[in-house]
Amino acid sequence: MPFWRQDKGGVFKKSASENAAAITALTDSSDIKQRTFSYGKAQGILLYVETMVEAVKVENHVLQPLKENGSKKPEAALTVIEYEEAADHNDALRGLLRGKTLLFIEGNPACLLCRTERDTGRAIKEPMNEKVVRGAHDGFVEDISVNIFLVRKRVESKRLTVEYLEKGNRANTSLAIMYEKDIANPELVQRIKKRLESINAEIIYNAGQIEELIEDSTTSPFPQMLNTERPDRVAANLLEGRIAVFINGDPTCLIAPVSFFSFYQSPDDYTSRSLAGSFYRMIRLFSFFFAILLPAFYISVVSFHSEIVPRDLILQLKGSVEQVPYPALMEALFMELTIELIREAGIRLPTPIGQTIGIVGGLVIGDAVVSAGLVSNFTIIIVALTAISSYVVPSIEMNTAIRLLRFPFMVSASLFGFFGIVFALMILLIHLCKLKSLGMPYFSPLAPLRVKDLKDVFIRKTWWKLTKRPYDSKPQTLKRESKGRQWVEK
Amino acid sequence: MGGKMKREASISTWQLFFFLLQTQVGVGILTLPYEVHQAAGKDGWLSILLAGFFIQTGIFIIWILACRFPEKTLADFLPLLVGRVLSIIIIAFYTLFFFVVASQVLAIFLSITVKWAFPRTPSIVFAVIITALTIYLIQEDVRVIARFHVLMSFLLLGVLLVFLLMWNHLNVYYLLPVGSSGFKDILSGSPKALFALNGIEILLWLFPFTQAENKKKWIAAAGASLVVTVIYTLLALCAFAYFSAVKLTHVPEPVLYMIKSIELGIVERLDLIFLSIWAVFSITSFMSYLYIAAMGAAKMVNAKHHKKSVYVLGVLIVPLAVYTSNAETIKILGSITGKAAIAFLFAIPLFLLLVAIIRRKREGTG
Repeated sequence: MPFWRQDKGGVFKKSASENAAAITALTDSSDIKQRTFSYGKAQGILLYVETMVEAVKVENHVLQPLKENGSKKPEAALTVIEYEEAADHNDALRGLLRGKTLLFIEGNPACLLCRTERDTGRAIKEPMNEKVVRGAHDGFVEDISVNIFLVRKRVESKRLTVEYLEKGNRANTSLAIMYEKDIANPELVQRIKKRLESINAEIIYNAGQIEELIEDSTTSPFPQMLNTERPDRVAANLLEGRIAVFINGDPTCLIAPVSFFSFYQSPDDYTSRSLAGSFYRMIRLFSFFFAILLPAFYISVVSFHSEIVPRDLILQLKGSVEQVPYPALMEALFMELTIELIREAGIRLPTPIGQTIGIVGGLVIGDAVVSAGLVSNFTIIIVALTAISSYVVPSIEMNTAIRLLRFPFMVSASLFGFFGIVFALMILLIHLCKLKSLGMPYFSPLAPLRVKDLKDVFIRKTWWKLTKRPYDSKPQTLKRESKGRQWVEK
Repeated sequence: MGGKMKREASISTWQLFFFLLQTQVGVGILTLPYEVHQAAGKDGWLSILLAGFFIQTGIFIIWILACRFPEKTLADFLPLLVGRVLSIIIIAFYTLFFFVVASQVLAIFLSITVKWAFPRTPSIVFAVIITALTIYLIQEDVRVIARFHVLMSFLLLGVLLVFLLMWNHLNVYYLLPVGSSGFKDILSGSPKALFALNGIEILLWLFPFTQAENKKKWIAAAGASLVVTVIYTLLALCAFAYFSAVKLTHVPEPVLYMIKSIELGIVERLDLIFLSIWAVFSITSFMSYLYIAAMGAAKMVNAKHHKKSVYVLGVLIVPLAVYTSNAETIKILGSITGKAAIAFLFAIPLFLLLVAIIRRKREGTG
């Protein structure tokens, strides 16, 4: 429970200084400032956290107007954009800590909270890890209200609903859920609200924490909520009847329920022509299997089924592999882990050094490791291809899942060859069939199979043919309010 | 037992179709042409068709019976028909039958795997892995299993590919004259085909879980069976038209040998790929049988959920399958279950149907 609800707050008295003292008794910090001024005949007290407020706002919109208009009621004198009356001490304290200015007037048993927060957000920029070639280039920031603004600006719908929640027992964080009221399934909205409300944490750090607290399966390698920093992606998902969760302080928006294939849809598919969009969508989905199966396939071919390779290639393959004293699994594992090392080092280092690491890691190690006879050059090709294809997916979450998944596949392939791959693949698919996102089947529309919805999965049909929303979020109205290309004469 | 139960997990007609299909398409793909050839010579494919026809009749009987109790599984409506004691005995027999068939599917899978791809791996390793991943799936409700079965059915395209690739290598003259083996031999080949085509009995359990009109359920079941019969017949035709009658007596897995000869340029040994696809089909039918057996077992001990019985049966089936995974035992058990299948497919449902008609039992009248 947030701190202001943990106990009953005290009530305000007539004396302004007593009220101010009651609040400062609750919190003690050297950046809390108290200013006394004369308001008409009475005395007024302002209380604010110096580091949280915009000094100009306090000066120009609170203090000055009050001093000059001593005869008016304080509500009429204030020129701040918003003010409200605090219910009790706890309410006032909460406002104080959020950057509001507390106003007490002698003889008036109340406290006005004036909006004077300092707003220093960073500029709206394109998110680093969700870049697109064409289309909108704006991205979320840390401030929840800016994020909601970005989505609202895009979806100017009267049914767009925002609901706020406050979470964090010690430190308070605002969450917001957003959905289209007449599209999103009310049962799912209730479900996500119930899960969010059950959160009982000291502090909310980030979206990842929320995700872990409310997702269906925490042991699964797959993300069950879509993380995005793109308002256009959120807007599109809202209109498919999904629910967005915003967390103050984190530019990531969580979207649920999602299916496995949502992670493979990029805004780029929709801005480019349908044919090109479909092609790249297929490339991306293909890359999933490529990234998890290729090293496993290579290992099983080299160590079990080399007879499957065509005659002309087998001499080269065997010739290259024979020179390496280790089993294929060791080779591949060694190289895969090296790639992971380079990646991890590259992220932490500043960009110029990061590039150097890339060159040293990629070129020097790659070349030297073959000539030293540690790894065969076929392994290098396979590992490089795998690394590239694992970065194709337009979601960083799914990317990690894929990178993790290929290791069990490699081990399984080195134990049982093709059968090992089949077993591992079956376990993976069983898992995907069992997995749920907010209670909805994760592998939809493939399992359960819904052929109608496949037109936005493996391919991206033309806009005007996507007249139905996907079924996996169980929207209230399946039909979209659009009719395409009516100018075509029949 | 009895009483109208709320079915939370239900499947669609298509899911029923693929569920039955995946149960029927199984280990038999590789060996069926050889087996029917042993009995009926080059007319073995007629045995398969005949078995397919038998099964259609069985489906019809089961369908009429199940239509009288559209909301109940076999275990639920049996007590209404034959009383409590006899019903438990019948369910026990069905459960045992499905359990033995499951174990046989696994045993055949193990023996072919050891023979064809992994001669030095102890078969218990595969038995444990397959049972483990089966348990991982079948502890879920019928809906998840059906989803998985539908997903795996995409692999049927691989089987179709085989027909396309074989097209140029076939010699139709090997098949002629049709029917020269005589009706008796063709008839004697059909129990063997019956084992491969077996699996439709699970309709007695899946019927109430399917949300559709009764007629559509029948179309799904009959359709699944028809598709499987056609696939098996085509495979047998391919094998008979590829190998001469003499050669066929020497190749116990004619389909694999046939595919082995295909050269694509990219993939040299297509049979290894096909073996992997076959593994999936075998495992899915193993899953279905073990699932129904677990459902039956759970019903017998009046358990609310089949999860525990899945674990128990899973532990029991591994040693049984490993122990019976030699050619001799498979042959003996195969002929027994082939005959038992006739009882479970025709005799018992027909008997129950007659009882239902004579005693005028329908759902709601009990």
